[in-house]
Amino acid sequence: MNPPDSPLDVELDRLLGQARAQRVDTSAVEYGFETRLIARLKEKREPSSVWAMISWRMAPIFAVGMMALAIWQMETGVDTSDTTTLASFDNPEAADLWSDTTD
Amino acid sequence: MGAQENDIPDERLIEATLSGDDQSFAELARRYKGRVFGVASRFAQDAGDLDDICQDVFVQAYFKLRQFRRDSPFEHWLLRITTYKCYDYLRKKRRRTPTVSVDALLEAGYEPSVPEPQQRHPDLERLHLALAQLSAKERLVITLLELEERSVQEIADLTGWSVGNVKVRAFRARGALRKLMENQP
Repeated sequence: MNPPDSPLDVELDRLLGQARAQRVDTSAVEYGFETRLIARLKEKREPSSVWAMISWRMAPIFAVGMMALAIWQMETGVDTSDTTTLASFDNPEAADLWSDTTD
Repeated sequence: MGAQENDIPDERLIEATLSGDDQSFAELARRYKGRVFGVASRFAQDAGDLDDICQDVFVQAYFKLRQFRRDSPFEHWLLRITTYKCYDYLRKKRRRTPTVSVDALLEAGYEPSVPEPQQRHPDLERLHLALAQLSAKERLVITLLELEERSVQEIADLTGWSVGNVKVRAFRARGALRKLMENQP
């Protein structure tokens, strides 16, 4: 470890003192800052970003809903592979036929 | 801006902002932007970065305003956010720029801070290049202590580090800076 008053420390203190005294003129960057800031805040509060935030927050609720639906399907024994039902969407006649049989 | 607006206490401007009045927040920004720009200019590499840091500070202050406990002045709270944003900026910048020698930086035409109208002394240029080589934590502590003349206690309040931690980091940062200066031609 260097002693506190080594020539390098003295030199470093001198340079740090100079840097401390030298303040950067930021007036050009500060000009119109509040206007830009308020515009950015308004942009961040836009409905699109609010909806995006809400939809992400709703994701776990949708996931739970999907799981509940899957469990309900398993419990009630609804067979989703029913070919008659699936065929009814492809063929309108089959759909009519299917509705006739249920009446 | 009139003298009347200057007389409104921060507390009332904060309440009005929380009620949805953007102009009150603009007044708070007008009041304290000088302090925020002053600190951030010690870290920003150019005017664009400086503007980005300062906007990030006030955007965070706006969205976290409800969390401001009001047990200390608004300015102190804002400077804590400023310190964090400057540290975050240094951290991200270091991640983008791998460590290189000072000579390589000079050859690449590196500008160590916000462009200034006056020419810097070559010795001061060496110091700024050495500061740019420090780690984010070292740069933060040495800048706050030596350039902003903050006390160890103030730095602890601004960074959330313990007083002992600030002292150790400041000692190490100075050692690293000295070594970098020593190794320069």
